[in-house]
Amino acid sequence: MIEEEEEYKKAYTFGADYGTSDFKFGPITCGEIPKIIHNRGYFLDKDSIMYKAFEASKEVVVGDEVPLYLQSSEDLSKLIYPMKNGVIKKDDEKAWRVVEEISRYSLKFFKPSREDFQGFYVVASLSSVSPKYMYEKLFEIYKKINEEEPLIKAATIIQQPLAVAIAHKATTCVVIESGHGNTQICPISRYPIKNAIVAVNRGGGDANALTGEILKDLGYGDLAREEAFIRKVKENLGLIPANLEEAIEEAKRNPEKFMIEFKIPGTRITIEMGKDAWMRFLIGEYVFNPNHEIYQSFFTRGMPKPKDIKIGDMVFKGMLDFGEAIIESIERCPIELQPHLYKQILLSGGNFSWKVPENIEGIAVDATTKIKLLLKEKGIEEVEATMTEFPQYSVWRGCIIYGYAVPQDYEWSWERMEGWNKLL
Amino acid sequence: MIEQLIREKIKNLFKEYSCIEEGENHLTFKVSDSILSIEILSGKEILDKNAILNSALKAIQKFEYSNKVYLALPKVYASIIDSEILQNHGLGLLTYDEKEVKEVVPAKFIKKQLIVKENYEKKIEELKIELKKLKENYIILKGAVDALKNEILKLKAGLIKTPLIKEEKITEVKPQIKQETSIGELPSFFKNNPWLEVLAKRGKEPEAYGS
Repeated sequence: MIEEEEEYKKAYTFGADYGTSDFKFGPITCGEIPKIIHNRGYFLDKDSIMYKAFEASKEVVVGDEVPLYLQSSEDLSKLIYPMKNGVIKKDDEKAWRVVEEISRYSLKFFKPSREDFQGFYVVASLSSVSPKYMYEKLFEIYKKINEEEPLIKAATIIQQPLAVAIAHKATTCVVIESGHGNTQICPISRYPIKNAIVAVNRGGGDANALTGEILKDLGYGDLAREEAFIRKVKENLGLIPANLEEAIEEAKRNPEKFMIEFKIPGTRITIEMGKDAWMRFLIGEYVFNPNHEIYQSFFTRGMPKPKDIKIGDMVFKGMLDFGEAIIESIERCPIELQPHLYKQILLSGGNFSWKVPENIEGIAVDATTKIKLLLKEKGIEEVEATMTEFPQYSVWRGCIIYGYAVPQDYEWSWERMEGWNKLL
Repeated sequence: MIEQLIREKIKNLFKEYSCIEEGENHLTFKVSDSILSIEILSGKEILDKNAILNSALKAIQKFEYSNKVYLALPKVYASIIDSEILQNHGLGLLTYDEKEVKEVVPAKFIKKQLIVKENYEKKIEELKIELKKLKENYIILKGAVDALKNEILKLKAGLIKTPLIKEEKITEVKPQIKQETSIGELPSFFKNNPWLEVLAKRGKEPEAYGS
């Protein structure tokens, strides 16, 4: 790299991770941790006092200011999370408006005052299932921001799994990103292997739905309406079984070992599972494999079954178990590469954080062990799965390394979907 | 020509006031914050039977923005005007002929309405200034809160790396990872990262498995 370019990028490489719930951003000079805000925007009611009092010319508020504008629980309907499924529809004007405002906010937030500043090298990161028009739209937004104020020298967009792989120093691996709404499996061998990406329409939100049903069965139906409450219960009571049937049998045989009382912090509510503690395993298993017949009773009682859906060009399968999904993805890659991919599976995202209480280790397992077991059932033995470190920051870190290392004279190519789109 | 002369005589009568507006049939004066208006009935209109009524009504309208209002009439009209009616309405009466202008009925000083109006305007101005100050303070506070948040994050990250109980054995002192790098340094996640070499070749080699 030319010395001059290197020096400039050491100061002005900028990462922007458009995650489903959080937006992580900042220049390379942030060091280890980026700035994090919710990836959401609040649309102002033009009749509101706040709008009038501040003579706000902007129609959408983003960043740390949003809570100041919330007046009641009804206002939550005016909160737009544009990246809910990792994909924004082409004509979803409100969502794109939020993306624009959030991008503008981030760049202005870190706008340097130094005289040598001629715009950031911006590396944005989108979900691996984002269609091409999302790239086009994002570049349009950057261009528009630059017309107002020259903040971006050049921009590029990379897929989130690639950024995760870069941050974890893994040049050949499979990244499994599981968020609230869905899960994506993306093999990487120095490049994301686009044809091999498999998407599953199941994420943390589905485990929440099942937890809600279980709470109803336990007699806490009135509490099972609040998503935040259900999520806390899931995180504190849910367990991943090594083998579902064996775990249920053991929990029914020795219920005291699995019994748990959970007090919701800051409230007087205590959940007691008693003899029904075996149901804890249903929650974790459902994330990894929802095909056991035991779930049928929940579906017949009205719990929505994860469906196959098409988002953009990608079909998200609802009921595919994670083991099957990984195999399907890896088997689309060249045969010589496949064993290397099984040896480095990176699990990323909040949906893989599960507790394993000490006294039931072996019956309850962590996410990496579960993945290995699912693959073992299908005859794949030599598997290494690891959880990503600093899951919140890894995509941003990957963006920073990418922006720093990719030569500035490598121009954006729509065919390869990489390179620098020079905006100044 | 005669009208011009009359206006000059009126100006002379109110010489302590400064004339801020002059029309064929009216004059407006100002002294400190007070406004004085005069509606003049010209001698030409003497044959018009409604002329006095018309001028009186025009004069009354001037109370909207004036503290004192006079009606100026040719002297010959003075005898047919009941000055008490004018007094009741706060209107002053001036009579004039070619020689002089005389104040027959002094105009009442109307204070209340104008002050209320001025107070509103003043209050709005004050509120605007207050709002501006609030906005500025809000931006400053927001900046301070953001800075504090960053500090807390750094402290948190530092605490994770610091053991709570000191071990007695001699431990190797490792440099702490800096949370914020200055220009010229690279963050720790760059260290031994094979991607730096891979990515530096982008655009210079054929894509392997990517497409």
